[in-house]
Amino acid sequence: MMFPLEILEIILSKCDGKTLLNARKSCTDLRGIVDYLAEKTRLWEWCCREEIPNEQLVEYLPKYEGCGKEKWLNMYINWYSWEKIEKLTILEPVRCPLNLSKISCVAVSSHHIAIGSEDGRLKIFTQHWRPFFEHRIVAVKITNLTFIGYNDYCSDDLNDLDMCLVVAFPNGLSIFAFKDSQSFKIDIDGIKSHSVFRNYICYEKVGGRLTIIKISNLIDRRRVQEIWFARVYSPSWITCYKMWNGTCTFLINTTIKSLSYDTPTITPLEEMQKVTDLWFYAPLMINSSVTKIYRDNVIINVYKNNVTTWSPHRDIMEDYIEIVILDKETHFSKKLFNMLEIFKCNITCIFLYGNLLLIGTDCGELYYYHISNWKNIDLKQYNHRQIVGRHPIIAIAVKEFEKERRFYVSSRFAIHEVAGFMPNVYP
Amino acid sequence: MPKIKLQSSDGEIFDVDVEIAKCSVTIKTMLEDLGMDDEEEEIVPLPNVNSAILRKVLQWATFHKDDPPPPEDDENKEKRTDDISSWDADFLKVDQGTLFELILAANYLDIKGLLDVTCKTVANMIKGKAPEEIRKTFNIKNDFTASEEDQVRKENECLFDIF
Repeated sequence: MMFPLEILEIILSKCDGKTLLNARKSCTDLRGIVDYLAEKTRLWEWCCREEIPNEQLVEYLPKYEGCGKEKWLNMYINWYSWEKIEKLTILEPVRCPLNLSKISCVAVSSHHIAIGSEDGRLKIFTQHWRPFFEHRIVAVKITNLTFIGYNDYCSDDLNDLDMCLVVAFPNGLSIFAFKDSQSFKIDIDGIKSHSVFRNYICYEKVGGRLTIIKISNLIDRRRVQEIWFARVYSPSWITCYKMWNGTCTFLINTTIKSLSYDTPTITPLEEMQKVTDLWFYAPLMINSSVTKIYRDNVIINVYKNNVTTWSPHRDIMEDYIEIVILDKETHFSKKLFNMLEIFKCNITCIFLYGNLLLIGTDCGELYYYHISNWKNIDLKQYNHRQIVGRHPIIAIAVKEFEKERRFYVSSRFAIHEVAGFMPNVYP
Repeated sequence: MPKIKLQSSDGEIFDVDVEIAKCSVTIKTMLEDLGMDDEEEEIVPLPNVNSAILRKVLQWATFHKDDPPPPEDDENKEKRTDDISSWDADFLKVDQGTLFELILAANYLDIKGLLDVTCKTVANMIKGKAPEEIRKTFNIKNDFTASEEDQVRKENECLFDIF
């Protein structure tokens, strides 16, 4: 051995995570030093913060709430494994052991799984599918479930809660908070659409009023604080909007506007800077087109051409998926893919998480892509997995579980867990 | 400027400004402990450093003599390996043996700045390398027991069997 251990320690403390993982596999001395450094310093936190792009990091962090000391190491390993998607091991999907029916949406946090149904039943399970909470909200479909992140990633105000969940149904939403096996509920009615990011919610009321609220201190009186509102008048309409990491991105008609919502002074809607005007291959607001914003820079428009629908763009007879990438310099760029050609069936859900884009179809196929740069994305270069049963995939949720990333892929009456990891990355 | 004489392991003697020599904490402490007078022309022996390496070290110390003192070890320090100045990068364009000897010398002489930049250079060398290549760089042996290795291999095999 050429170097004394203390020099190897200095060298390794300057290495990136991948090198550290390889060093651990080279000999017992180096493995010992890496593990010692991890114990003594915030080695893996540095690796995560330096190497993982921030837009991914903000999505991984809430997945590790309450996951203890190993969280940075596990986060790094999971990120690194999925960076090498072609070398990854994806296990056979495992069907969850419960009898479920009429599933309409799924959400997963580090310790809980929430399932909403078409008849308004909310069921929350612990991570091993033990019942935790059950509630019948109203006899309407639950359209969306979102766990609200708390702990150190959001304001300290929610720290004292065990869990917080936003439940949406067609004309309203309920916020459930859990503390010491008690639950608290707040209802907001007359809501047409909403978007949640951590403890901020933006919602659109019937009639075009937009509101951003901040949830804090659910247990005492100061529960919900309205921090911004605006009204959109006809003939303008809100196509969609997305709350994400301090920015709310609005698509109003075909104009992109963005708002920094967690700053002390918030701009009124009229004075909001226009980011850019977009154009789409097919007009928005057609029943068969679904437009969604992802993060603060990507818009995906899935257009199903129904021949009986009147369309001014008669030349477009195909079903397609259009990806619009917002960019400060060029304003925006677009990618267009023929949906039926690639997927042979219809897209039923799109899920973006960290360095991954997942697409579920109506014949039970799960397609996944590694995303490093949106401009290079090619939907034809897919990896895919057949989920048993060939039923339409209606929802996808994710959990990061020790050294594997596990997706909860849901059809109307079954949830399959699909785990992916890289073997032998951290022996 | 007062000078001192440093003697390398192979007997060569270097006349060095005291201020430059003092960037080495080892020499600085030695001078203080011995209460060496600036007037005296005593020779400081450095039995762990040969003349070629000492010359390099002094070249580095001369260039960096006006640098601000290195910051104290900070918990939050960045691990960046790519912030090596261009002069240092050129200076460290040497063969691996020399680089490793420079590290050992910097460690022995306790020159934090030089130790830092040389270790960064080695970190860059092994960046992204496979375990086998890391072993080769450091000239170390794979000392995992056969059963440990075997287990790793088995793990791989059984997992890849799925496809």
